[in-house]
Amino acid sequence: MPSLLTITDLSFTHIGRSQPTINPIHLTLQVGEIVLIAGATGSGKSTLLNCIAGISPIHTGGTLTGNIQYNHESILEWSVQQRSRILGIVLQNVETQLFTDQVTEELAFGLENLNLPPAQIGLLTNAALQEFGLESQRNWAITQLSAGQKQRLILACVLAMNQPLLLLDEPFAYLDRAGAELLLRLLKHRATQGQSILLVEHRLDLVKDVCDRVFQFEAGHLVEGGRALASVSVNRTGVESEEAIKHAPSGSHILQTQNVSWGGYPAFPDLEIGQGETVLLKGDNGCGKTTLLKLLCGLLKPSTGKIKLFGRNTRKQRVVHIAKTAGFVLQNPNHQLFGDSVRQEVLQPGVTTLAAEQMLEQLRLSDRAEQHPQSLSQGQKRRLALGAVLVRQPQLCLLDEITVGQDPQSLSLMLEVLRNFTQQGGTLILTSHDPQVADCLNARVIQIGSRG
Amino acid sequence: MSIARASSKSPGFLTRVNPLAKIIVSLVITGMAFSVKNVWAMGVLAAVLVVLLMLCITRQNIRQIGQGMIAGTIALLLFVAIGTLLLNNVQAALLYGLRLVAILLPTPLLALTTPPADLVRALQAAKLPSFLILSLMLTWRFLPIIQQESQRILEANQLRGVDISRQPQHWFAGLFVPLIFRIVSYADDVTIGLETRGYDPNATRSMSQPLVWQLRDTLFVIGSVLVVVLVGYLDSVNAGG
Repeated sequence: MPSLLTITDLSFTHIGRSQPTINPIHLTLQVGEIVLIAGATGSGKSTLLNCIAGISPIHTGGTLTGNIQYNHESILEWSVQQRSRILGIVLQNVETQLFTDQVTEELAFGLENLNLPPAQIGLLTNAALQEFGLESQRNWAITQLSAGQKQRLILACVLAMNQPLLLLDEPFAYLDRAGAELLLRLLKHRATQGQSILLVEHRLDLVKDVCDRVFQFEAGHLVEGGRALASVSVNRTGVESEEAIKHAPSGSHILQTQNVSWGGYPAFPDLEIGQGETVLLKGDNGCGKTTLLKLLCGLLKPSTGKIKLFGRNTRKQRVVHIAKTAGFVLQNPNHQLFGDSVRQEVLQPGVTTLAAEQMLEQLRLSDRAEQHPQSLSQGQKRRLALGAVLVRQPQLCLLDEITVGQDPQSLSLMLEVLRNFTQQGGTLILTSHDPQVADCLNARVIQIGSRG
Repeated sequence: MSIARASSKSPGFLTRVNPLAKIIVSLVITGMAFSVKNVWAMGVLAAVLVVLLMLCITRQNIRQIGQGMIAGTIALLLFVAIGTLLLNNVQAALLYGLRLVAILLPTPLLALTTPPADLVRALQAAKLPSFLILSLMLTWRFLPIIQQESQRILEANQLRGVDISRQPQHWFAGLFVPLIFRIVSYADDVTIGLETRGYDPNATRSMSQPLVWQLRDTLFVIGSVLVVVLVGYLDSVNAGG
């Protein structure tokens, strides 16, 4: 097979750092090949994609050495726009790639940039809506979409443009089982049609079967081989003993909901959750899992029904009062981290320095304590957001898709911290599309919405 | 995939009007707001804009916008009261207050009724320089982003047990500083996002829905001309009033 992309001696050093984030690497991508890049959070996977896309160093600064060739022509001097003609790029935070107000407009936006005739844009837009199961949302405002639906939309937008090479940074994040299976089928199909795909993904169990080759970032070096796949499963240490340590509901329910509904969602199932319990809210993209969590923490007030938290109806309670006992880790960590440094983020009023340091240590963030939270990788940001909530020692912790973007080691770390939390009597309510999470936390699964 | 939420509302009349026509009318109205000197004429101009804004915002989040309207009315009354004290002339203070309304309202009205994609199409059709189109497009997304980010910061603080909205002494450190940081990074994020989606201000773009002049555009222009004529007439017959 002819090679489409050739990376030679590529090295990149971030601005203000003396050590390169990625050491000289060599990589070729053949026509119709799917290559997976794995590695720990913050190991340089996204940086590599940014270098290929031109985002680094053009927008981020830093020093790039080596060469990147497309069809044996160097593209180092090309702008990001020029590269976007040959590269379909899906960034980790898809919200930064959505520009219009409406689903159909968003699909047309990229095709208009390719200067395609209006009739062809109409055809491609309809095909993409159908292909990604977004037909019923075609006239929705983007703000109405859930995170999973936004992920589907940006994938539909990029795949509709049909560039020969796809750079996908965690495209399976937020996707439900049906969405993930659909994307896998599409990627395989696109590869057989000659598109080459460079994939960064942590859900290795999901993608390993479709990938032709797998690389792993280790200490800035790109290593080819199956070591990444060998560590697919998260560390289940402690799970065996979980039956013994599992906290049965202690009789009194800390949370009870009755006939709760909000917006256009069908009524949510009634919940009765006891102290020390772990509950996984399961459901397809757009079924209202995040909305339910926001209702439980008081950010939204139910249209009908009532929510009793620690015996008190939340309707008349302010969020700040509920927050004294219930912590909420949001889906997008960027929406929760506003401190000047990582340490500042956990060292909140009422939190001792010792507790803050211990939390950073537990989440392996001590060495980054002085960094700005926004300079962390997405996975590290999620760990920090979790730490910033748990350090306040809430009795109930709500976690919205926090396992997204976590490598197996990092995920194990988070699960260990969460197990400690429940062992000490804390209650967890979480959403996740990762089936390993429910197993590892020994969670009771509650279905939200109809089964997809 | 289960889909639960109600479908979005159909776009209102103003949203479907040709964006170029709306931009031109907005410029004309803003120009008039500077030149009109009669309080009745200015009152009519401001009233028309307020009514249009009310019609527009009933389609949005009523509670939030309602709070904004109350705050706006209080601010206007304060402006007029202070103006009266300083100028010792109620009519002049009222004129300046209404002028402020007439100058300020066309922009949010245009923003509320013009999706970014329509704005880009209008500017492309007007053959404006590409760098200007990009700048305007980014600016167009700016106000909603500030509102959204402020809301997120307030909510994040509430979730930590801090209600900043009731503690003005913490607004600077708790709200403005992170907001400024977010705004600065916003410009970078959006530029990167736009470029990765293939947007090149110097390249030719096609239009999936080319702008076509329709009956509603003619009606909008006729309505606008009638308002302008009425305001001009009131201003001339009550000159000096």
